[in-house]
Amino acid sequence: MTTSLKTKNQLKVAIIGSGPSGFYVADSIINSGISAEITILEKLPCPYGLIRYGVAPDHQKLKRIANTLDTIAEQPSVNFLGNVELGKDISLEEIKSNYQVIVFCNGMSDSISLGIDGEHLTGVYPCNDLIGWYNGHPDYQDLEFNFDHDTAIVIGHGNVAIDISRILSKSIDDLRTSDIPENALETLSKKTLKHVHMIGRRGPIQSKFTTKEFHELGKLSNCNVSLDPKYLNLNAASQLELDDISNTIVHKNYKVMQSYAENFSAINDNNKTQISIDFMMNPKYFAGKKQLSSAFFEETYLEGAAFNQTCKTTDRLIEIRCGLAFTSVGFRGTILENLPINEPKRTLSNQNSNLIGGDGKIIKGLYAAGWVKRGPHGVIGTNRECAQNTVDSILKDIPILLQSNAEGNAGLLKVLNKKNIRYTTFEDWKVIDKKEIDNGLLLGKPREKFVTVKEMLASL
Amino acid sequence: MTTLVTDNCQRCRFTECVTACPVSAFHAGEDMLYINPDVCVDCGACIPKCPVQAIYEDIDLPDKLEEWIDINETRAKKFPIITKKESAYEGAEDRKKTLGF
Repeated sequence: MTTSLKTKNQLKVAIIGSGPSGFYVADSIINSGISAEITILEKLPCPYGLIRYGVAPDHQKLKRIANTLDTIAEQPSVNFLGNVELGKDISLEEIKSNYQVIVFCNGMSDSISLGIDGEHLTGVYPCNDLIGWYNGHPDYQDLEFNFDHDTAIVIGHGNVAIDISRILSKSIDDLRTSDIPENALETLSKKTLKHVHMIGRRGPIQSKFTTKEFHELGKLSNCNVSLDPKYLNLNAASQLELDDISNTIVHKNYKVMQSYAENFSAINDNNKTQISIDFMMNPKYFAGKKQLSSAFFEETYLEGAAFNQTCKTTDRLIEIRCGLAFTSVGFRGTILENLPINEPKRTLSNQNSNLIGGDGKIIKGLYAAGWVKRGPHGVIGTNRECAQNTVDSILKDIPILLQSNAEGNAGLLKVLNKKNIRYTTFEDWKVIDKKEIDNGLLLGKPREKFVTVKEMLASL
Repeated sequence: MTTLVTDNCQRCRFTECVTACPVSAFHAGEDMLYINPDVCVDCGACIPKCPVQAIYEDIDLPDKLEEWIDINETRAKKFPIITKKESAYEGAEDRKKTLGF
């Protein structure tokens, strides 16, 4: 009697996606004190999403966030089910019939393309391809990169662009201490890059770097980072933006830029990789026969009031000869189970985290958190607050949500078993995790990832 | 690399920062917060949250605030972890104005 009563009043929650947002939603539900049973569903056999596959492989300290996520996963009310993909292994209807609440935390995995000529050329890649590949993500292991070029360009001025520029510039010996898998290290060991350009459409004040990452570039032992001092001559509106006291990060970044500007006229040490930070250049087209040989840009200028400047192009063309180009101008979501989305970013249509249907009405029991809710902005910690807001919305709806019956995890397992889906549990993940760490130890690195789903499952 | 809270937080304690911390590294002292350096992963999410710019990374810490590295380290663990926003210290808004924000 007690058990069934307890189960009856227990909110059954399914979370789609096991990145930081998914875990922080689980955490906020637990901390709210309500009685809940939570299932975190993940399409890969392993948890952590972008902590494992997005955070740069040489940023191991940041990857320690996984320890916090572990303590959430190990709460008795939380179940992790990996290797279960919504829309492939299981339908939304099958989840709905077992849970009162479904929270979409599946992130955004598509890179936005520039939509310019020549993007199909060999040597031009969206940033995700490279990041997924060097982080050992199973979906990106068939890609073949060739780093035997003098010059690479990275288009975009955010932390993703910095990560790529840093990985492209670091010496292979430095990279060997990261958790880049051996197959990728083998390819990277053949890189001959002498020059990496990081190029943005707007000016130094509008760049989206965080200071720590931006500052770190200048500390790389085998690199020289420089920018043309002319970019630091700001127009009046940009000067106002810089002088605004609340614009802390820009202020700090500007100081770092000043130090890089001092390197501009220094004689380049040929043994060092040159990292150039270029501003006010809008990508126009890529040129080459089959292989990329040049990228062309239009010079730009800024127009409008401070904090509201828009980027205008001139007809002055700038050519950069390069064999590799990585585009890092943002992400967008994927269309999922016919749920209404907002173009162009493809966030799930929502109102205070409640999903809204094509008719503009709230869909009972469906919520979103993280990038898929608010767009691809913010740092990892931003998702904690975002998840809390989602859970606040769920808590308001509890009386209505509890009116329907749901079996929760046990019900879902019945469906998965019936369909013969080979799911992984958090215990399974701990086995995979330990083997990866042990394999890494033999190679003197933090871990050696299994880079295919097959290998992960075979290790169990 | 360290991220730390400095004296602007004293008698402000707006606590906006704790909502952005992915690893619960903040500890709540009586009149200010501290960051536990053993837990913090230096993600920087808290820095722009502070209305009085009390949080620094050591790379941009002014010399006169250097003592706060040790203060955070020793005091953080003496106080409980804080993960939820609390109401600010009485008079915090006035102090914010005095600090020029």
